[in-house]
Amino acid sequence: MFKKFQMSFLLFSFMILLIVTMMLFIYKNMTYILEIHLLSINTCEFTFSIILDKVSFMFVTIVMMISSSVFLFSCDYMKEDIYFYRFMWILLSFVLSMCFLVFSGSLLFMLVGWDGLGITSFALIIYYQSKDSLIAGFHTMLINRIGDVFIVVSFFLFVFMGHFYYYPMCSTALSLMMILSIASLTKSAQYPFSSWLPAAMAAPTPVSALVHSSTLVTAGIFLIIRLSMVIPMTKELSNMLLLLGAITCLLGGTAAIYEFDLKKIIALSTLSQLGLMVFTLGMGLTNITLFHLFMHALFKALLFLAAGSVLMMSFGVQDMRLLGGISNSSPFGIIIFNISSFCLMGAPFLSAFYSKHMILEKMMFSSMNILSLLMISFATIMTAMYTTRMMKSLVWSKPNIMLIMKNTPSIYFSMIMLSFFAIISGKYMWSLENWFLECVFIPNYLSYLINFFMLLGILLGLMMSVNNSFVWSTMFFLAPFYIYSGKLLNPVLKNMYFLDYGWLESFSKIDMISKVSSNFSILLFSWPIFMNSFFRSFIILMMIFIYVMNY
Amino acid sequence: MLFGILAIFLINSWMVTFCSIMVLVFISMLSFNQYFSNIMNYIFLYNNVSLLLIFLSIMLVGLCFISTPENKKSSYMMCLLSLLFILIIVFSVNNVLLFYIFFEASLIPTLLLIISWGYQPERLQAGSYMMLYTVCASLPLLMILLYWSYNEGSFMMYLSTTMYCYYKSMSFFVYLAFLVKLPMYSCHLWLPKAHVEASLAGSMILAGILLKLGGYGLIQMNYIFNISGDKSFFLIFIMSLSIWGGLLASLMCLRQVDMKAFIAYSSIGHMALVIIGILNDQVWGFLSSIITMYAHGLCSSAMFCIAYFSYLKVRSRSLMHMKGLLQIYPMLSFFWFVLCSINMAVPPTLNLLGEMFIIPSLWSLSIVFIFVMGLMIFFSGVYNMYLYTSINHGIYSKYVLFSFPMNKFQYVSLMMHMFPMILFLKLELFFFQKKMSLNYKINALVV
Repeated sequence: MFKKFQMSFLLFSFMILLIVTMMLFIYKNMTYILEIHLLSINTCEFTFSIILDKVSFMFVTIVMMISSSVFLFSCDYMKEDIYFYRFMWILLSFVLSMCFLVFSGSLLFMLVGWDGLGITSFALIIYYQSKDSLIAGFHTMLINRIGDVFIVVSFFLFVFMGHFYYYPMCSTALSLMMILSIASLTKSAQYPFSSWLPAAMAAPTPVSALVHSSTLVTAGIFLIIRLSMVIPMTKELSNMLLLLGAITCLLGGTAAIYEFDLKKIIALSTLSQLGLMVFTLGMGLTNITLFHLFMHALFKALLFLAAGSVLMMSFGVQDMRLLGGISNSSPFGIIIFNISSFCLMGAPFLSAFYSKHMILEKMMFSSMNILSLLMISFATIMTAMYTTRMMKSLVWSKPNIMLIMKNTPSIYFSMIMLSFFAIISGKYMWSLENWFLECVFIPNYLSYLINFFMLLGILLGLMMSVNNSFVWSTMFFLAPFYIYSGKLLNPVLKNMYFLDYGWLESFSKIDMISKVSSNFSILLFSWPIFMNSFFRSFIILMMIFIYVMNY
Repeated sequence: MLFGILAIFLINSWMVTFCSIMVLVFISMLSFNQYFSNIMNYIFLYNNVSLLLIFLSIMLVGLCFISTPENKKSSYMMCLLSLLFILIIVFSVNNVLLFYIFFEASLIPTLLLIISWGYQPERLQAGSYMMLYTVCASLPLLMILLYWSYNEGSFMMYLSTTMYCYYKSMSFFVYLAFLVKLPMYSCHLWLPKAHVEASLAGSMILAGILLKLGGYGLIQMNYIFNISGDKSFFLIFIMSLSIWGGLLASLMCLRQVDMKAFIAYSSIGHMALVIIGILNDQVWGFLSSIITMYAHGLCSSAMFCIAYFSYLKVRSRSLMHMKGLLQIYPMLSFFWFVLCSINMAVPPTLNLLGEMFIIPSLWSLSIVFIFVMGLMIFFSGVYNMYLYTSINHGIYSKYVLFSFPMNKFQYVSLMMHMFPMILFLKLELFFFQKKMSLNYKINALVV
């Protein structure tokens, strides 16, 4: 009976191993780069390299931590699926390709992880055999494919540099950094590309827990972190990141306020947190971004698992207008829900408090455009607002549908493990690695202001009631834009038919010769007497040939 | 190797033929270990590209035998073996005239494969399309080759000392034969027709090796006439036509309903890269086109294989009738997924390296080429995943018949197709040293 827990045990034991290794790497502060030589052309070394340092080990530890609990959770969540093991294997390959990406040091190895994430996430999103999931899968896959195209196309810039690692880049590689950053914006769903993230909710809940916490969406941010660890970003790039991050943060927050789907609200909150991370990257704070990424990964996975347990109770009903009164039927689930949503708001002394407050205080401290600052402040208020709204409709009121409690120890254990990490890891990581420490000098009232944002958001969330709004819940028409942009292709495809079978076919129309010289061509193109006419034409050609040669 | 195949001709048994082809595969793998970049004697000429393609052709003929075990007639075997014989000679011959003759002769067994083992009466039309396109396009080449050997006083390719520029005016006719064979967009109409009508072995060989014959021919013509690489108007025209055509072919994929025509159009898109890589004549481009030839040869042949296997389950090739195979034949749709991923160039496959290495070469032409290339990569993702989902996703259709799960020979065939992809760990094999010796020496003497 333990056979279906095998992958979870495997990942858990990997996590313990990696924690030890991570301690070692942090303590010694060392970096190993392994290179496998594949080819060298004109002093251009095409290599396959692996980076082992504290950042990659910390990241992989977090990934293993989350995925072991998610796998444990999905043992129960997917137990009625007859293709259970297929699901687990795709999920495992998904986690594996994220690990490849984290350890990668050169272009080829990075692409293995990057494209592997795209492909496996596609396979996971279309896991349910419905039309909706197919549309969502294509939406996700195509936007991610844009990022792949950017990376592949940037190959010539790598050739200019003369090597293919993106870790020790020389300062001449700034245009390369620009292109790779655009590619990572597609992966981490920043503004012009952000519509796939809510659409990816068509996947089973354990997949969403992995995708939105530590694997798919953080891949892009991790890539920018790796790029900017060695050389600082240019002014243009950091301005772009600041603006796009702030816009995404605000859009995610507003869309979440007007949304009624439970999973989509959590997805949109991921979007706004990702915007915050990109914003922090734009400020040039690589370490804080990484810190916030870790914290966000832990509590967001927890939030998704809690939502998953709610979905298990309600038999897949995700609409918040139908749900309610969960505190009566599952007190434990609501405790977990509370922990993670307080983390999301940045409540004091939970894990995200340390990172989010630091980011906001740094934002007050540094010089930047007022637009981004205002947008981030609004987005912070909105985070507290939609979280409160979500909690309100889940906990209070009476349920409109039947809720049946059927949680099992594996679900409890996975959620308890993650919530433990979500509570303590902020303080713990901070004291483990002092690279995450930063100091700020701001007046007292600004620091109070940040706490005031949260309280204001909670208050507004308690008071507010909203109607459906197409404009905001589609992120200002972004999602319909991408979904219906395929229609632009329709007339092109229609006319392609005329190009191939209209123009080219009649241009080279073999039957047309028959109208010119009917007798000859009937002999030539009717097969039963083929040999005869073939020899005739052959003789004619030979005569031409002999004539030419004599000449 | 040649003697081995000759021996098989005499012993007319499926088992013996199959075993000896497997042995030949290993012998041809041994020849990868070469000490010189070119090995030449009076008749034969071996370099990296030819050895790779010889390996590929022996491998694919062996895989044809594996994938169609129900057909053990001696005429079928003879057809495939004579094709193999001709291909090995084409890939290794040094004599220009022999090269041309065997290049043309490879059409005859292919035509027989289409006409005698095809399915529908339209195969006659497809056969005539194929013959007329390729033969008509390559006749001018014969005259130019004879003219060239008249000037040189020798038929040997390697001894070409061309320093004259007057072949440049003829370069259209030189390339035309191979551009039709590859095929470039606008000369491609014969390919989907031929694929749709051909039997499994016919499509596998056609997609796997015969298209690569065109690429090899382009390389040899560059060898002989020394006309590529300058950015003349004509070359730029051909290159831009082929890359836009590649984009159009990948768009054309999206409106196909026939699986085989779908795969044929996708291979037109990939062959555009080969044309550009060779004609632009730069190190990265050459490397890319050789890698693409090798990888696409294996990948598209495997796609045709799996298309045939799913045809056996559904008894239809139409994408409208195929649906939801994932629920009924999970292994089959697993292979579909892997092959579609390989075809859309997911790392670490060789297809990705082929697409990546072309980009520095495109950059030297124009930034617009890179833009088009980006669109092509994007659409290759679109159509491959469209192919996968329209076959495997959804509730299974009512047209799916009762059938068995995949047989063992089908697993073996698909796995063996993917196995040689492991050569990406040994990329030096694809690195083609262009001929430097004679021309440069003579130039130096003249100077």
